[in-house]
Amino acid sequence: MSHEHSHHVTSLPVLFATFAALVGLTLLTVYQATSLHLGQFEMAVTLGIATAKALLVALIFMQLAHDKPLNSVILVSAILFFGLFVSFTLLDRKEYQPQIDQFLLDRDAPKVYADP
Amino acid sequence: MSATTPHAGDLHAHRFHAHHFDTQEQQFQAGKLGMWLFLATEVLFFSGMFCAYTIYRVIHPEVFAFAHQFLDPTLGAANTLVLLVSSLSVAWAVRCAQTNKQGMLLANLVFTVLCAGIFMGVKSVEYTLKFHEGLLWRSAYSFVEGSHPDLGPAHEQLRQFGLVSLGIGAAIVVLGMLVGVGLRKARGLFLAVALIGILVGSVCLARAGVVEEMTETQMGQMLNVGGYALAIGLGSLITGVILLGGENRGARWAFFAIAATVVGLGAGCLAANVYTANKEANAHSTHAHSTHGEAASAAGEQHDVSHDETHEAGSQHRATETTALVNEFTEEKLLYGGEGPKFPGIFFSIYYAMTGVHAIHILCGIGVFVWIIYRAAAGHFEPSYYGPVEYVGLYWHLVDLIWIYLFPLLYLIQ
Amino acid sequence: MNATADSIDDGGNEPAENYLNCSNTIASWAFTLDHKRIGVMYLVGICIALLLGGLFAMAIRLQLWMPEGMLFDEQMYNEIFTLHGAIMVFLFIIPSVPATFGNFFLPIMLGAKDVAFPRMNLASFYLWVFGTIFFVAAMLFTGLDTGWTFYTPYSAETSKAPVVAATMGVFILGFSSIFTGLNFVVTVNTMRPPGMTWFRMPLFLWSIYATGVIQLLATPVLGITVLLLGAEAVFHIGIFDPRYGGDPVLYQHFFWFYSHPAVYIMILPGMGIISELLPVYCRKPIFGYKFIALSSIAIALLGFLVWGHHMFVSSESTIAAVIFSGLTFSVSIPSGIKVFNWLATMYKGNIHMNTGMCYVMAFMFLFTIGGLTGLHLGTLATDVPLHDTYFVVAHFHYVMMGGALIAFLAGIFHWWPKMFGKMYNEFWGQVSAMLVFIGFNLTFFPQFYLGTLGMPRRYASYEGREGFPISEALVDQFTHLHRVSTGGAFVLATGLVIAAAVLLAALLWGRRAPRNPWGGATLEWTCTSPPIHSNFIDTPSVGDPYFYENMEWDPELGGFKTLPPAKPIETSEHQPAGSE
Repeated sequence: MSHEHSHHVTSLPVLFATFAALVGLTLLTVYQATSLHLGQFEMAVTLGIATAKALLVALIFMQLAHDKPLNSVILVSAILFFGLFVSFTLLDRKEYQPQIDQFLLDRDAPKVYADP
Repeated sequence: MSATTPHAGDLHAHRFHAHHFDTQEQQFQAGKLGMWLFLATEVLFFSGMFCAYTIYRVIHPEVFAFAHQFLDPTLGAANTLVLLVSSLSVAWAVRCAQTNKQGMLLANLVFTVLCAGIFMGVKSVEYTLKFHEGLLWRSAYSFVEGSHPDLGPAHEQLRQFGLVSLGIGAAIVVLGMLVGVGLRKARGLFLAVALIGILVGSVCLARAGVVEEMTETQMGQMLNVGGYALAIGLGSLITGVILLGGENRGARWAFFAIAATVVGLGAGCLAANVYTANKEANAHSTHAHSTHGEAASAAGEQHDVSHDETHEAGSQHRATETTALVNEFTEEKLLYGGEGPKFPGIFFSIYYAMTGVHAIHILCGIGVFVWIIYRAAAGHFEPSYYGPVEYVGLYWHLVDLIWIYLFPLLYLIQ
Repeated sequence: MNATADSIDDGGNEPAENYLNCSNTIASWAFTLDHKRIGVMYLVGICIALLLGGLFAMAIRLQLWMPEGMLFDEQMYNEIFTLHGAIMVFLFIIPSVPATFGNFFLPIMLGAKDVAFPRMNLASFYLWVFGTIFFVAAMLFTGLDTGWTFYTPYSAETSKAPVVAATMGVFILGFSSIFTGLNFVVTVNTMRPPGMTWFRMPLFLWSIYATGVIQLLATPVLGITVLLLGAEAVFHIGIFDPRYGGDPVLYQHFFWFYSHPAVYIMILPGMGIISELLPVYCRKPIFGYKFIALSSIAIALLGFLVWGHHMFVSSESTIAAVIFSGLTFSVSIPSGIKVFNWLATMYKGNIHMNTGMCYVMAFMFLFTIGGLTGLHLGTLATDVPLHDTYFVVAHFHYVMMGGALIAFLAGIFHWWPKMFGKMYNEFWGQVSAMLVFIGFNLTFFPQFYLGTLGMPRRYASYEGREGFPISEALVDQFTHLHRVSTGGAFVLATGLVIAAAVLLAALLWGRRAPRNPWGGATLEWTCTSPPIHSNFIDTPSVGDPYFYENMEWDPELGGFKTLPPAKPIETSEHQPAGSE
């Protein structure tokens, strides 16, 4: 029996510092989206900031940094399967878009009948 | 088995030790693993909506660029902050349970449901206004560009809703405090007041709904009186029930938690409503300036002009941008044989699906927090047994985590 | 106290009280947290589902006796095959093995008193009941005719009410499935006894574990799919419905991301049963333990990479089709590993042809045919003509029914004495296995041929008409093949009825079962038959689950007894539970 209080207790300064960082990142992402125009990098930066926030929540608030690795593995594999689902579906969806466009063009084009 | 029963030192440890686990540590870890697996299913549950989002954003970027302007980043950011604060308070609550700070544990948990209530309040403002403007899902989308629907009644409704919520919450709190002072004998009185209040409130609200020829003032009065009567009635009812329940500390705190949620709901709703109403008023006055410029400037509000001009420039910019986008997706609509201006409805389909399912998760979170507060007040949690606080905390963090992605993906599109 | 001493005086002084008779009010069953009772309640439930689905199957076969259709019009036929498919998939096969044998034996094989979350386990059962009532009522009263796959745009356009009701049923059943899977994964992870390392677990637990992983990762996607479908049907949100700018193929992606892995939810537990029974009836340790164990995990993970092979002709893009086709073949590797290891286990084994073993051998034969015909359908060039023909119908029945159902039957005959403490009639058991095997092949083998001849699935008639013109000669050929199939279905049904009769008769007239009638070495054979409420009188000692040399047939007991000394545990592999 091992109840020698092995559970991690997060200290208050760490909790508040994490919270401050999360608020800072939220303000940053609002500033970036409303005032900066990053063009093609915009999506990457937005998601990057969101992921940084998510990591802070997961590692410190959810204590993954001090938890059994298995729990991290579970979260990471859920995200991997999430990615698998979205990426394969998107790959296919983008590929057959031209077929849809062509179909609609053909359908809406004025019918031309060749002479017999 | 080699492992003996844990000599955890006090009876509480055994009280919640399920017989089929060898040790309490095993029970704790099993629960935590179970919660993490559940969170994995949550991630995959949301994956479907994120997938739909990704696909339509890639296929129809113009729809997203056009439609997102109807979402207010300020409200979104405010809700993000509310959730972040609540995440902090939950993490703190876990710490309090670990270090046996019972008072702070309860305070943090109640604060968390208060935040959840605020979140739902802001959300209800966002939804209500969109409903009134016809910014709905694909088949119900009926927004007409250029027309300015009168949102006055919607704001009025939201104000009523917020006030009634505050009233109910405050009534529960006040009456709950009276209970604390010792009014147990008055339970019959409370139940009588409850009966009358609910009766009067329902009649007033029903009349406001049924009778057609009623001026707006009369309608407002009906809603007001009805709302407050209902609030007092419900508050008395709940207090009466607490009184009937006797000295159950857990039940009392659970009712306080509900009160806190309702107060949060009302406060969030009122704040967001005041903010949007002011914003609209500003935009409207700018509009008036641009159309009846000379007449308005006769009033001689010189100091305001420069301020208004920037607004004007901004809204004109937005208008041209919008027109360009409308043209673009009108062409798109021809290509797809759809019904044209209704196309941006797909954005709102996805918006309502994602935020709606997320809001349902918030509501479920409120439910389990009320249960956790009940148990915390009953003194169930202590350093050797605090699993449920941690599990519910994990769930709450995940709900926050999903919002962290929803916010930029829906509100901050460029 | 060690288990060996117990096993020796097996049979003589069994406790009179067991989990079945320790309390007998209705409430003691309805609110039980005992995993064994929940397993038995599940068993009753899914057998009713099997009966229902089976009756619809017979109706389908009778309809096709005549080329013009014998019983129903087209609409009715659509509803009948939808009911058959949906009931069999959602109500029977998916919960079948995990919810019954998994519930009953997983904690016992771990030497535990219960699963990790007993209340969640009971909730899972009631969600199943609730979902089932919802689902069946929705289908019976409103006429669901979309097929079990609910493909858009048809499902979002024409049959709104039944689709919404049935998909809500599916949503609830999904929760039930997730609860079961979550419970099993946590139980295996945290509650293994000291001495039972991962590679000392019985293989049945490996397969249930792998199944649990799939249930956790795939089922939530089904949940959101049916929610969005319901929203599409009611609110027209334009995500799946092309009339509103949506994409029906996207629905197929969503649906098969769950439903292909769900195929492995159906078959993996069956494979676990086979891995468990084979060594017992061959009196020989399982061959290639680690390979069988890890191939379960490999199947679970690879199963997620192949969903696109259901959409080769649904206007899936070429590049995606090629990738999915290639990945599809990867699943055959772990499946092949299992079959070869089973064969190697049988090789030079002392094979006892008990009823359980008969079903195991039927499984291996039928599953292999089912698996190999899958290769034709995974290949792009051959899938295009075979898609939506009876070839596909035959293929998945060989896998689902020849695999999952036959494994279920093998398991039920193997564990019946343990679950209910009664021995059944061995002769009639074997007759049932024979009839099921013959009837099954008669039913479904002709369908391969029908498919290659071009008979499309889901058609109410095949007399030839506008839109489906076929020659007289072909109509004749179809008729003959369909009639063989229908005849076979009756043989198969007879076999199943006999199997049920044998088992039910055992409850009434069977002789008392000894602790270990077949000579199994996993922990369930060290408890009494049926087990007591808390499973074990004394904590069992964990040994090698496939070591049979210390066992001896005792004619007096009518079962096996364990000779001391049991194979000692190597302490080097000693590892406390939950440390991984």
